[in-house]
Amino acid sequence: MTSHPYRSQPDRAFWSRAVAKAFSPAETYTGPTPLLVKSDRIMSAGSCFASNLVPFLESAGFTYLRTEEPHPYFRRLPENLGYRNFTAAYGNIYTARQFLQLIDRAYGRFVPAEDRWYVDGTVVDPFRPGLRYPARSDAEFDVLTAQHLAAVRDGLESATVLVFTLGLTEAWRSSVDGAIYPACPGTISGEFDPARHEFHNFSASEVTDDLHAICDRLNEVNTGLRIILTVSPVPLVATATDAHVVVATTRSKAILRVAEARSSTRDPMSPTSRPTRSSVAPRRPTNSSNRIAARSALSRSKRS
Amino acid sequence: MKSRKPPERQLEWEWWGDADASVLVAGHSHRESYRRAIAEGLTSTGAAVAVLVLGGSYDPAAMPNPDDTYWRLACAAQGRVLAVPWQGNQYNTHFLFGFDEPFRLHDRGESGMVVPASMLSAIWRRSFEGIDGAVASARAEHVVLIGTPPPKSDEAVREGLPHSPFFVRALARVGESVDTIRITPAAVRVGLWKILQDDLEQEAARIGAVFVPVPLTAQTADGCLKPEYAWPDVSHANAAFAALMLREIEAAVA
Repeated sequence: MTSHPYRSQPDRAFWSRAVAKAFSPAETYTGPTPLLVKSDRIMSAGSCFASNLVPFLESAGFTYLRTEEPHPYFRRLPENLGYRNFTAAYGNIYTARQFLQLIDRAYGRFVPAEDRWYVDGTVVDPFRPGLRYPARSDAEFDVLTAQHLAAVRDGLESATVLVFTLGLTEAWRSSVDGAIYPACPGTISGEFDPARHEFHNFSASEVTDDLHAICDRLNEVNTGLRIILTVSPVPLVATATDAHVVVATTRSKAILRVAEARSSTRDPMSPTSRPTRSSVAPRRPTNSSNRIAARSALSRSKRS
Repeated sequence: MKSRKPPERQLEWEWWGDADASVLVAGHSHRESYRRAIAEGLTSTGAAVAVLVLGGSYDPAAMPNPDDTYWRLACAAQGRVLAVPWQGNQYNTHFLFGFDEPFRLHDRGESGMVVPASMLSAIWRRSFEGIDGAVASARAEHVVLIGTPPPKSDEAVREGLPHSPFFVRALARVGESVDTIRITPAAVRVGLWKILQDDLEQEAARIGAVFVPVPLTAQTADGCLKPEYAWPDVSHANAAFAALMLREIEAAVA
C-alpha cells in the first residue's frame, strides 16, 4: 500500500469518523489555546447567535459582560427583540458595517444624518427601532442615546473577549451617508422612503474591510481585547434581491465566511492589511466549557 | 372547629354636599379634599358641588377604593360635570422612597441611570385599567379627569410620613423608620408627577373626557405643591387646593 497524505491525518479529518459517528463539536476547534478562560469578561454583538450563546456561557461559569441593564426596579417590565440579551442594548447587529458604525458613533466619529424617527408621539432610534420604551422628546432621546453609547464604550473597553457574529450581507442604508439600519425602515418602525433609503448587498471585500476596520478601532480602545468571529447559520428571513431565498442565503453565508477567513489571517499582501499583529495569548488547556465557542470560526487580534 | 370568614362589609357610599350639585366629584382618595372644601364653605361662591364618599369617613389614608357600586352611583347622578380624581399617587406608591441604586429622568435628578418616561408610564399603566368602564355610562354632560396634587417638598414629606398610614405600614414591613428612610429627591418626584399628569391627559383624550391640569399657581418655583395647598400627610392636598381645582374645572367646561 502506498503512502499518501491522508494516512497521517487524524480522525477529525474524516467525515465518516468525526461527523457521521461520534461527532464532538469541541473537536472542531483546533487552536493551540482555549478560546475562553473563566477570568474573561465576554462581550458579544451581532446576529442572534451572539445572544443565544449567552445562557450557555453563563451556565458554564463564564462572565458575560453587561453594561446596559434596566434599573433593578424596572427589570420586570418586558422588552422587545432581545435588546436585553446583549452586553449593551444595541439589539441584533446583522452586518459588519453596522457594528463598525456603532463603534464610530460611540466614539463620536460618525453622526448619522437620519438619527431619529418621529412615530406616534415618540422619538424612535432607527438603529434600535424595536425598543419598547422609546423617548418622548428630542431632549430625552439625546440623553438616552448618549447613555446607550456610553454603555457601548464601557463594554468595548472593559471586555477581554468580543464574540462578533456575522449575520447578513443584505442591508438597508441611508442614501445620504450610508448609515446602516438593522432592519428595513418601515418594517419594525419608521417609514420607508425610496428617496432616502436604499438596498445594499455587501461583497466579501467590503465585509473584510469592515472587519479590519473594526479590529483597528477596537485595538485603539482596548489593546488586550481578543475577538472571536462567528458566522450565524440562521437563514435569511427574506431577501430583497431577485434570487430565491435559498440562493441568497448561501451567497450571504459564503461571503461572510470568506470575509471571516480573510480577516482572521490578515493576508499581508492584501491592500486592506493593517499593521496590527495577530497573536494568541497562552491559555489554560481546553475544557468542556469551551465547546460552544469552539464551534465557531476563530479570529484573534491582539496588538502587543 | 371551622372558622368562618366574616361577610364583606357592604360599603355605603353617599353623595355629600349640595343637593342640587352641578359638579359631581367621584374618584379615589383625592376626592376627600373636595369634601373638605365643601365643609369649609370654600365652594359657596361657585357651582354647587357634591362628592361621592363613604359615609362618615374623613381620613383619606383610611378610605376604601371605589368599587362597582360606587361607579354605578357616580354615573347615574345627573349633573353638568362628573369630575374624577383618578388615583394620582402612583408616583408616590412606587417611588417615594429612594433606592440603593438611584435613577433619574432625562431632565431631572443628579445621579443614577436615566430611565425613559415611557418606562415609568409602563410601571403604572395598569392603574388606569377600568377608567373607561367606570365613567362609560355617566349621565353628566361633561366628564373631567382632574389633575392630581404635585409632590411635596422633601421636608413636607418627612413631616407628613407619620400621618400617612399606608407608608408607615409599608416601612414597618421592611423594618425601616419614617425618620431615617431615604426620600426620593423632590426634583425627581416632580418629574415623575409630570409624567403621570401627561398620562392622565392621554387617558382623558382616549375616553373622550376633558383633562383639567393643576395650575402653576398651585406650585412652587421647583414644581412642588405650595404649602398653603397641602394636607399634612405625604401626598394629599387640602380644601384650598380643591377649591382652586373646582374653579379650573368650571373654566374648562364653560
